[in-house]
Amino acid sequence: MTDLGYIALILALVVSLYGILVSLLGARRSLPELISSGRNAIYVVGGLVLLAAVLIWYALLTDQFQLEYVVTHTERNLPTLYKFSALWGGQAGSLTFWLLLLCGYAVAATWFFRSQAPSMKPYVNAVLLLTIAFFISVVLYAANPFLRLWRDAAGQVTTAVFMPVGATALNPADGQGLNPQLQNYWMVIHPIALYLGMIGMTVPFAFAVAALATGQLGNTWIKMIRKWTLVPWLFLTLGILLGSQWAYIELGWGGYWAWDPVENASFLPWLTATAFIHSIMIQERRGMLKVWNLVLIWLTWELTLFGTFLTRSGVVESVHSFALSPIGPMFAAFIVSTLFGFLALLIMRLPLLKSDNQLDAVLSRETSFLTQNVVFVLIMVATLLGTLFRPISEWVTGDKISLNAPYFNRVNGPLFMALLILMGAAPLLAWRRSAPSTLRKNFTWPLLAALVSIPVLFVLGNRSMAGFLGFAVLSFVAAGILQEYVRGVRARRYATGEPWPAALVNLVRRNGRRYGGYIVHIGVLLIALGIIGNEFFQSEGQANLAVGESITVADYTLTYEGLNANEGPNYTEFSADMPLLKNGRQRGTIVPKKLLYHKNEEQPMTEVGLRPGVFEDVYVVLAGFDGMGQTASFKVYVNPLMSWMWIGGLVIILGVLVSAWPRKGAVASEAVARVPGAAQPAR
Amino acid sequence: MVLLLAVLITLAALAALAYPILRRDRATPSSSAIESTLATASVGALPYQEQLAELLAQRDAAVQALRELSFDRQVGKISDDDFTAFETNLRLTAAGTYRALDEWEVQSDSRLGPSFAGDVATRVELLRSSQVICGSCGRPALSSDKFCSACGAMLEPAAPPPATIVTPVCPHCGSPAAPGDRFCAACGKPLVEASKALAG
Repeated sequence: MTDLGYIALILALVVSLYGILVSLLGARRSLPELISSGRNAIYVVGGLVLLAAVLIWYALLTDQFQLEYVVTHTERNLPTLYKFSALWGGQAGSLTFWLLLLCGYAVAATWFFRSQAPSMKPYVNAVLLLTIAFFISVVLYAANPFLRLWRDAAGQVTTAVFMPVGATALNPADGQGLNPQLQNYWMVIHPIALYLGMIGMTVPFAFAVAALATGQLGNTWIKMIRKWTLVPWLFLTLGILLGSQWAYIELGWGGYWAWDPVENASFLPWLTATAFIHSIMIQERRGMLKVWNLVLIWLTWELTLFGTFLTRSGVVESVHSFALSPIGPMFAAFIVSTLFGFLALLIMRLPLLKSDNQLDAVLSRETSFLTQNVVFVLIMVATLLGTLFRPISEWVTGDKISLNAPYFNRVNGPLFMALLILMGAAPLLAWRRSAPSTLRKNFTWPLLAALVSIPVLFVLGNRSMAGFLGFAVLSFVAAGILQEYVRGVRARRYATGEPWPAALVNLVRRNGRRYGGYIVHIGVLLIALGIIGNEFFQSEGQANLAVGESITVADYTLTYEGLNANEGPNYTEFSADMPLLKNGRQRGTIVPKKLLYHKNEEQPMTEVGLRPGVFEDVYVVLAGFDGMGQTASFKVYVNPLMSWMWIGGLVIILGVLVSAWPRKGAVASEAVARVPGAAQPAR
Repeated sequence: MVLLLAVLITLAALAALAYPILRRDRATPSSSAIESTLATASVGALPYQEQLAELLAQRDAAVQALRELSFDRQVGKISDDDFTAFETNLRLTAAGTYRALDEWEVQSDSRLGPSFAGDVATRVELLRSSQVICGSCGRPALSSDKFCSACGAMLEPAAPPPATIVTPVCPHCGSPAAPGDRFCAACGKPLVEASKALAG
């Protein structure tokens, strides 16, 4: 039955290529029937890919160990949730999952925009189908989840979809199990969020290509894709945060971000996507930064491909691994050809991309947005160079030289600080120019808050320069946002006479984009708070403890009471109960663990013992133990303000919901109703 | 079994892809003059239908900019002098977008051609001639209506049109057609006989 999935993918590839052809032909020759056929191709491909994905899931959930992917990524005793998530636990499955989500986005966009911008749609469809066709090709040619196990005539084990001549089918009794690092619920949801974020950028990119192809480079395409960029951006943000949380809880080194290539792969498109979301406001408002916006969305999409290329091709580990699998060359060819294709389109349309206005003053919102674009791109370039330094150095010198966390922190730290300052200053500046009197009025309180934070921190015991600077900047930004809300509510009360709570609610409802954006900024501030607390104020200690002995780190004391062992469905769990005291007062019990998976005993997994708190987390790692647990070694960290990082993620979700919530455009809908058969304006 | 399913899926896919192409012959004849003109006419860089969307987007942006400027002034973000200067500029921009919308409407009417007004008048006359009167409340209704839209009473069939008004009908399905129609709007077949009858 799973063979049907393979056939479905082949058919999907043919239909995709057909769809690209008829969409472009229909657009060039103004043949609406071909354009409609190309649109239907997206629905057909979506259905075929869904069928293929469902069949792989069926194979995973019913232990079809004759499939190579199933036998290498599951086992009979694997819990059902992890059998399901095993789809994205390996190369072939995760590429198929990527393809499924890509088709989901393509179908949703095709349906949502079905009555808008008919002249752009064929090009949008063509780009979506081209991307889909590429990923189907990669799955079919380089990472096929439908390969079965056979024993050939010579007795060797081989893989193929259909039975080779003279071979017999192999059906192992059990599988090899899933990577233990993936057997926790963070690793179930983190890839979904990340994929939804990265893949979702294909839709705005497709519209950018369509805008260039048709010459419709005004505000229409920007208005159409704003929410279709905001939603994947949110998922990308959450995916990065969830991955950080997984690293914090599962890897047990006390941190959450190590600037490793896999992490950077998701961070790079986030940088340019964030710049794009802000920069399009300038184009909408003042018809400026048109080239910037096209370049930013182009970079975002290319970086999502580049990121997945980095992690799948192994090129970062060694440049020689690039050619060991066809995946690397296929991705490289697609990235390079789309890079140059888009560049050619952009150069061709440069005359249509002239700004409608010029920058009026240095101290203006437009200048601050332009500066933030530059800073985001600088961070992206620095991160990209650092990530690629190892293969580049190997290629040039023959030696593998890696740039690690110290490089990234030293280069990106100041740039992020500049970005935070801009985040605080931009909302306080006016469009076009800010008069000296309004600058004094708008910046006084935020600057005062920054200054006041210094003695306050000194009194609280801080002596770190970086801490003073970091908290001063956060205070500046927070005070600026608070000032915006206070003045907005005050203005609304003056105009309407509403009480404070009603004025606040209605202020946010009527200006959702602005005040929802401020809520997102608050979320970013909270994340920055967690980062500053962890980076500059962490305390740590480690000790080998016999039963009954204690370790003290900062104000906390933990006592080792002995080792417990329990059996899970496919693992043995060792845990240590450690009562926690803070300044001598009882604060509960922390239980760090080690898990030994039966199919992967050489790879014991850490489960951190964590007591999160408003002001600090107590974080305990069971690093090792002797046979009977008479002694065990522990690492203890006290991480100030860490919980605010995760709370910041929740606040960002709220901010995006407020900002993107649909609002009725009464003027627009009334005007459209007058004209029969007219294209619908962007919602 | 797998082969059979594969064949069925392939046939379904082919049907979905071919349907819009095969529908083309039936779709085009039943389009009215208005709809076909709107769909195919194109002026300037943008296709006709999307010019409106772009103009509306520009208008909305200008109106939104004015709203935000006023709000920025209320919260003290800009000075009164700057507000006056910027507001004038934005009002001119907004007025320009409204003017462009008005010009677009004028152009679109003239583009539809002099026959447009004639076609509309003919359609209206056709509808009037085929009206019935509700026996319950006395409101007029179309001959194709089964129930009165005002009081919900069942309608009596329409009286035949007066002999002096020549109403062409489709020789294939009997549906009324307008002078100048070449294909029947109900069944899609040619109206050559109907046109000849009218001309005769």
